[in-house]
Amino acid sequence: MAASSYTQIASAYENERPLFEALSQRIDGALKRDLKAAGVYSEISSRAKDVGSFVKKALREGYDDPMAEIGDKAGVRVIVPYLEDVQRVEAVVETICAIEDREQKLDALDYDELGYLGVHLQLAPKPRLLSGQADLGPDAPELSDLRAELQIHSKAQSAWAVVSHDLLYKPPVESPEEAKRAITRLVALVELFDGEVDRLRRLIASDPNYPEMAVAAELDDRLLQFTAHSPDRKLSLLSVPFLVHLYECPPDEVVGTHIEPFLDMNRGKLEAIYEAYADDETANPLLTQPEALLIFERLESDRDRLREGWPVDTLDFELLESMALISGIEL
Amino acid sequence: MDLGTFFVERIVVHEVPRNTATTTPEGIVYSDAPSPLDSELRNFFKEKMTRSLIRHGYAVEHDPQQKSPVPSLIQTILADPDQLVPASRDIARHLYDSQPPVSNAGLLVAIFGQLEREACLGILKLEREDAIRVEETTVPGGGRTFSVAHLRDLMLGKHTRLFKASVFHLPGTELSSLDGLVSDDQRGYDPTTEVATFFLARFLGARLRTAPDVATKSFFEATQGWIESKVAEPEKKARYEIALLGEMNRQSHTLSPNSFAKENLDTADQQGFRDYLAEAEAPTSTIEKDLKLVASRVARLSMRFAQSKLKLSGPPEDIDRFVTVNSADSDGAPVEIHDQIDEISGGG
Repeated sequence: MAASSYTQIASAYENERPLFEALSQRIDGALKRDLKAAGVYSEISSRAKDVGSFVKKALREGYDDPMAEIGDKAGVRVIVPYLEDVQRVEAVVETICAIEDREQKLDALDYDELGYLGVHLQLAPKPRLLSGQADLGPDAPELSDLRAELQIHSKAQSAWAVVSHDLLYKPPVESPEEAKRAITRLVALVELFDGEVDRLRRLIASDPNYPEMAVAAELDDRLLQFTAHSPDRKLSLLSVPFLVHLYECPPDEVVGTHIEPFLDMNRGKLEAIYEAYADDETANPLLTQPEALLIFERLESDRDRLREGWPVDTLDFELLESMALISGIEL
Repeated sequence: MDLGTFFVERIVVHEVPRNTATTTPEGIVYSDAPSPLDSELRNFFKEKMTRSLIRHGYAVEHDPQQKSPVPSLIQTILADPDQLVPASRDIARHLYDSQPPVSNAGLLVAIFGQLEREACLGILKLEREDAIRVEETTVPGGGRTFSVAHLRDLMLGKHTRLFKASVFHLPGTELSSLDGLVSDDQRGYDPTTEVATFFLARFLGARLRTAPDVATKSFFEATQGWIESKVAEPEKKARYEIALLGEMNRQSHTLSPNSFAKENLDTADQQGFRDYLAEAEAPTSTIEKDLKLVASRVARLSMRFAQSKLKLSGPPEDIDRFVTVNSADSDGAPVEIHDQIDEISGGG
């Protein structure tokens, strides 16, 4: 490739880079919003490849048509706590982008090889990503022709990727073979770590109370909007299974179907309640528990079954009466 | 009125003696400043008032026929919370002037706060058999105020008398828009009772928002409408109809739709019933019962049977006492009459 062509390519990419920047930011914003709505904890970062890196990659790899062949000009990285979250991320991604290519890095390794792990997706934006955004401007039609690369890592995979990159590529001298081997050995721990975490999560999920208590865990996040107190999980166990059974839907639909609309309708009232009780050390202890949101919602919608079924053997009825008083409802 | 949105901001307490031939208004002990408050005390009064108002609260409005200055004083405080102390002193003075000699000495507690995100004013009268003595404290600058922490302890004590409570807000600018709830933990509002009349009418200058006879008729008709349109099983319809007529004929001055639901309806039906009442704009909170407009309709209950077309008719209280209507899935007969035959006669 002639030297002049590199300057042309650098110039061509420089001209188009703002579009890739716009695309990566849109994917970043949409994923932050949609993953939060789907209850997937994640850390998301994005960037458009800088011009220098683009040119160096073109030089290093010897591409005939770097503009077409370099796929990560717009790049987004999603880091999730657990390996099993990767599929949930992909499901959300598919609502905003078409997945044109999926590369599971583990699949590329032979059984006796160890190396970089994670999932890379080649994305084409769907109209949903490009529509309905006030800031879209005149670049929308052009964005639809661009592609972006999305990397999804578990936290352990990400940690290894960062450390190995720093140790292998950043030192001023070539890393010795022993160091390379040690870094490669570490990736085995990553595989073991993620595998064990998944096994433990399945073990925990086999607890008979798990589906109901998972609702409490899901509500922790919503409660944080009103109070920063840490919930007591054992206290939740005394009422959450009963409360979740009051809903005539599967436990995993309770928050989305009932609690979210309730919070949307009553946010101002709940904010005022939590502000009034923020410094009150004698306040009802259930108020700072995730089950408070279930109790408030049921007081509005089904107070009679709530009252009749309240687990008086384990939780004083006075606690429920007090929650009713706080929300201004006659029990 | 959503009492879950009621929050306390400032409290002023004045001591009001009994108004007898031997006392004078000079006996009133006024506060010069709001009482010191923290979150616990604010929430204590919020919950104490809410408890009283949701259980026994009547919806009230300004009564222009009354000469009470209280509605205007409420308006003054709501417009300028800094007027809480001087205006509440005038309220305390009017309490002294308007209360009958039989009324106990007590404390006038004025509470400025928020209700449905608007300024509101709560007015409480606390009484005890033995006159309440609340600790006085001095505010910076030398004025007097009362310790509401001590007041709370008195209210938590076993010998504390129940109290009269009210809360008002002003959605518009005119007194005609004054909207309130008034409760009396000591008794219901019987218009023939002097104590109640004094507190609601002479003292607060308010009246019930809906006349008791109209509210009673509205509850009765809405409940019958719900039974007719929402209850499918005939035996349940009969059970609920008997309960309704029993409630209407019960010797009580008040009627609580929520208590009626809790005591007589299946758990699964209670929320639907309350929702129906609300949609029909029938009373959902406690009302004064007055059968004037429904007397003839609650005097007798009739049942007609499906196959035989036999008809059973009588005063609701007798049917309630001697007739049992069983649910379809019970082992017993659909209808049981628990009585001895007294007389049989033929003829056409």
